[in-house]
Amino acid sequence: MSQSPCALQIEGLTMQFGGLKAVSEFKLELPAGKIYGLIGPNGAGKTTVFNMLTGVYQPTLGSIQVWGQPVIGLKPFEITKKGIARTFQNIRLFKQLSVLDNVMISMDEDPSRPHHGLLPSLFRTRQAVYDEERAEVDCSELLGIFGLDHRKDDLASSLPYGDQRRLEIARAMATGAKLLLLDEPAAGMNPHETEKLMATIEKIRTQFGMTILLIEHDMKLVMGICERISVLDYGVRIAEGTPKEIQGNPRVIEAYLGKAPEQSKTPAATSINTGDLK
Amino acid sequence: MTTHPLTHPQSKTGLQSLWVWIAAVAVVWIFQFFFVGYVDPYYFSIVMYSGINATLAVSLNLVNGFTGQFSMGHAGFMSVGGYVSALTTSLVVAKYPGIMGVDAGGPGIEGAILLVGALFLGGLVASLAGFLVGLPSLRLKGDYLAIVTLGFGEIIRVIVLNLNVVGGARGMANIPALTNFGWVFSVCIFTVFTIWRIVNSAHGRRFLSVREDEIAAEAMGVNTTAVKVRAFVMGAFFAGVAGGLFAHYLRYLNPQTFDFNRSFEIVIMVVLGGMGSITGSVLAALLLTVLKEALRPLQEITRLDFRMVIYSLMLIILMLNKPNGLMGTREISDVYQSFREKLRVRFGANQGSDQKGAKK
Repeated sequence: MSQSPCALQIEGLTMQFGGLKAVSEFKLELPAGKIYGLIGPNGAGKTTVFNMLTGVYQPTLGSIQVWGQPVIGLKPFEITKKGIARTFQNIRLFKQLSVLDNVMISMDEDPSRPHHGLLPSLFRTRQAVYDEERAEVDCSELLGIFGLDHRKDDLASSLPYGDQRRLEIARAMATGAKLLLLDEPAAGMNPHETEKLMATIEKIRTQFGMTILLIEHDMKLVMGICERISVLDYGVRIAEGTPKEIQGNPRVIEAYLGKAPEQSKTPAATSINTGDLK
Repeated sequence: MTTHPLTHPQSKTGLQSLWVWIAAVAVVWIFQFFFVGYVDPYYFSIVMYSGINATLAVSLNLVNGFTGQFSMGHAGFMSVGGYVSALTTSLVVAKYPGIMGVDAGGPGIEGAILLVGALFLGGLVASLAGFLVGLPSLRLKGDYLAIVTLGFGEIIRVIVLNLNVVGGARGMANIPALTNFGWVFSVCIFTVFTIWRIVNSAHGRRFLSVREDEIAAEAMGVNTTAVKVRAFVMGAFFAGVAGGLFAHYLRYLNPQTFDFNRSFEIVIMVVLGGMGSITGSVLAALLLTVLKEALRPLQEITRLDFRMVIYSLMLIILMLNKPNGLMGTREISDVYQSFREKLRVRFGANQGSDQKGAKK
């Protein structure tokens, strides 16, 4: 993997569905090792951006570079091998497989790991068995970081909701990608689980040098761990900056809460608005 | 390689774990050489068809059960393999009649080589057919794929029906009798071995990931199209080989043998056994093959063809009681493990307390 300081570089990214411009002229520069938030009201185009980044949609215009390599036109599985992996808004685990297998499937695809053809797998050569065990140990270790190692033999569907979300992150990490796209990682979590998740995200960033781009509605999480934030509204980036700047940005407040009538634009009203955002 | 600290107590490499399979093949050939002659031909034929059906069911399970692609054209691949290998051996034997060893009392080593070669060729052509069908049609999902593969099976049948080289509607007769008990069950064991090993490797996990969630698998870096095509090609290969065995056992092929009923039969075996259980496929293949024959006396007594009615009734009752099939996704090794676990809980717990007592 190239050691470009920039994990992700997006320029002029536009997605047009017929007459609807879901995302227009989106731009983003994400330095390695940062946690970056992408927020916006429902239907603003956040998930569309993720789908373009991972090759699910082909953007109408624009360029995307992952670790300095262009990824437009590649298939989703090829893009993953460039070092970018995602989680899903509605959990998409391999439900009827064990927790360990969920992670193993991703680790098998890590391009930096040894791969074996059909014949070595058929005859279980020493090397194939060794690499398989090695992957198993590494997967257990990875699951340990997420506190899931004691449940590695259970079916993924049997995990509690918060653990399923964390397993998705573990699975994405197992691909060997250093850039993670988390699509609403805290959706449906209670405040306690969200706090645990924030700690985990911080941990994987510091311990593994992961770069993280996340979509989230939970403002406590976004404002708490993101170093910078982009705000999308109707497919257009209306603001970019640190959490502090975003919280005070009138355009952002307007996008979320609507324009306040002229006469009621008192200090009290703004404080309620920013309070909501916090 | 130096010793590493990772060694798993269960894992065995190379030949260490191959011996079970080799022993099974050896037992098959011991039966072939010493006991087969004493078995009643009728019962013997049931045994042979069980073996061939088990091969078919296990290979279809790779596609339907493990990869989750509902294919209903397995009889088509079987017929491709059957006709290709039968044509090969017929042509060779016509040129060198000595191979059949009429004077020596049966085909010898040349016959065996010819059979293996023909089976392999049949399997290859069948897998090529699998590739050609799979590449475009695997874009479809669920019911649509089932319909396309069903259509493919019928296309093959109609093509064969109009091919004069293989007898067309008259069928292809006088296929050299090269299949015996040893070959059928060696192939069956080889099929189970291959699919078992592949399913329990990184390759197998890829198949499973496609079954579980294609979008997630693709996002994790799995080339889902390649995985699906690979499963299709492998399933078709073994179906073709089974078709070849079938052809050289029955010695007569007719396009009607490979109609969609035949495909359904194999699908039923897979579903009844449990989608994603190799053990289940083998069990269901044996059960259904035997059941169909076991119901025959009933027909003679009642003078009415109730056989298929009862057969389907039994299937319905079985599926109502066991909607995931006989085995679900469990294998014989899982059953053995849980059985041992039960034994341990029952008797091992006592042992543990005894030891504690002894220490005091």
